[in-house]
Amino acid sequence: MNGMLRELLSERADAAGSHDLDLLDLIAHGERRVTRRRRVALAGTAAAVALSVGASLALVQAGDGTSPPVSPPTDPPSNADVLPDTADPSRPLTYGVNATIYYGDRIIEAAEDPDGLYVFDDGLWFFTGENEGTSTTHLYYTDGSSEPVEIARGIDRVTPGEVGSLLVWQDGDDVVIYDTNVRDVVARVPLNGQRLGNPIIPLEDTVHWREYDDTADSISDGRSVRYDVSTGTRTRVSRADERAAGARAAGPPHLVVGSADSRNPAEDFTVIDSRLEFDTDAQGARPPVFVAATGERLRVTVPDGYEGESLGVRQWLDDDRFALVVHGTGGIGRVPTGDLLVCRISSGECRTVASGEQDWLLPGAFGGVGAEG
Amino acid sequence: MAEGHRRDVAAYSDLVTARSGSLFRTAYLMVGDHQLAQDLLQEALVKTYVAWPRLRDVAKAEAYTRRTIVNTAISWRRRRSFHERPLDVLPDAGVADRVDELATRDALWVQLHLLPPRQRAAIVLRYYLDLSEAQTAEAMGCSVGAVKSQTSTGLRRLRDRMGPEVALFTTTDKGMTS
Repeated sequence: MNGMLRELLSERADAAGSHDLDLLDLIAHGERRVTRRRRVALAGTAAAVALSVGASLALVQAGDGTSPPVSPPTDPPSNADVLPDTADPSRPLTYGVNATIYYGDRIIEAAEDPDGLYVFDDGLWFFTGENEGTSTTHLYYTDGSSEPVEIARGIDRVTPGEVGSLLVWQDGDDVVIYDTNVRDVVARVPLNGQRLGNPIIPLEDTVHWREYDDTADSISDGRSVRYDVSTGTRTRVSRADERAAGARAAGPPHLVVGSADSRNPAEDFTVIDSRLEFDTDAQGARPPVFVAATGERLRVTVPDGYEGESLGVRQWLDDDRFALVVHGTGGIGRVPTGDLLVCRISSGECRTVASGEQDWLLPGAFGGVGAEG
Repeated sequence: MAEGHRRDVAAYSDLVTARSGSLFRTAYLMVGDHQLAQDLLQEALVKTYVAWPRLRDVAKAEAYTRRTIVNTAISWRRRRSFHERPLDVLPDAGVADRVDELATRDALWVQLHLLPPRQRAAIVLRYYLDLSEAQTAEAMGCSVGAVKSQTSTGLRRLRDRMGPEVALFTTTDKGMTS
């Protein structure tokens, strides 16, 4: 029986037979995932804008010495609503209420209120402490069933790559590039100068940012930089390249307005006769909304009680399901403080998965993507 | 299709054609089930496809896929509890000396898959793929110290459960077991 372990491993591996994966099928799966992430990125980008407004409102409320009443979801969502479709891996419905994070059917209690949630294939990353200065910012990872593990601290500008597996942040004078698939830092790139307020834009294979030296007079003076992760090279690029990276990060929309071949995204809706209808355009008309992938008209009904309400798309769970949040009436833009719903395009139905007037924290690129200047 | 994308797809196809068999065997040792191993390999290869634009090298991509297999297997274990086996297939610890080698190997196989996934991964990477401690640490995304700890704890558990009569290693293997 000497050497049993090695022999056993070799013997069982040899006896495992062969897989019957089809190369073309793998490539098709990969292409679908790339496409979906680009579509999801758009919702994340829109969410980032709304979240910034939401954060402003939260500060205003804190300044008043009052805070909104918080209650757990009143109508626990069914697994079918919130869990990934295991046949075609997608991402679970994820949202935060104060220090509690709902991640599919898992509930995660963070040590303090998170400031950003990022969902990737292998789990959830979130950070806390954004408003307390970078020295206390903490980035955590959890797969939903284990205690959150701290990945980094004292960092700034955490930004997810919606079209790939990269998560990036700034740590002092370095841009740190982390791969969520392998859960490790794959590059740490010193900045040549300061980065100022421009976003860091992670794509599948490159990361873009802008650097400023001491001679910069305005935010438009910086050098646009592309870092190629595969080769470890940094290249100065044009503003056009930078804008193209921003556009690529956003990707094509999932729902479009006007016609099936439109590129104009449909993200905000009003409930008319229990149906989701696009908000009125400049002429006061309500143009139709189409599903970009199929070209079919979007026909989705919401439960009773939302007539006349305004809702915004905040998370795509897969090609068929998206999460909407009812915009509150706080008076500062469209603040996501109402109920949270999940809609299925295929069935044309929506279901309320969480209720209450509260400041939801939803996944997305907190810093947004795109370029200035 | 752009020429660059076409080249990427061709290189990815080379990886799948040349290395998927070996990667499948690693996946199988991680999960111990043919269908799950196939699902695991598919997931890892799809992730590799998404990451391909920054890999673009078959050797690098194979290491990336293997690492993804390990990480994904650990995540799946927590989410799906696929590692759990019915207790009636378990021999008791003292039975090893009473059964023939085949049965002992079956028992060891079961015990291997009852180990926590990180310990199992460390053992598979070290003793099936013959990776060094540093390479295993790279594949698992942890420190060399953690690899040593996971490996020694896993081996100790196997020895405890299989009994002292079962030699896990030959004399020539011993140098790698510390």
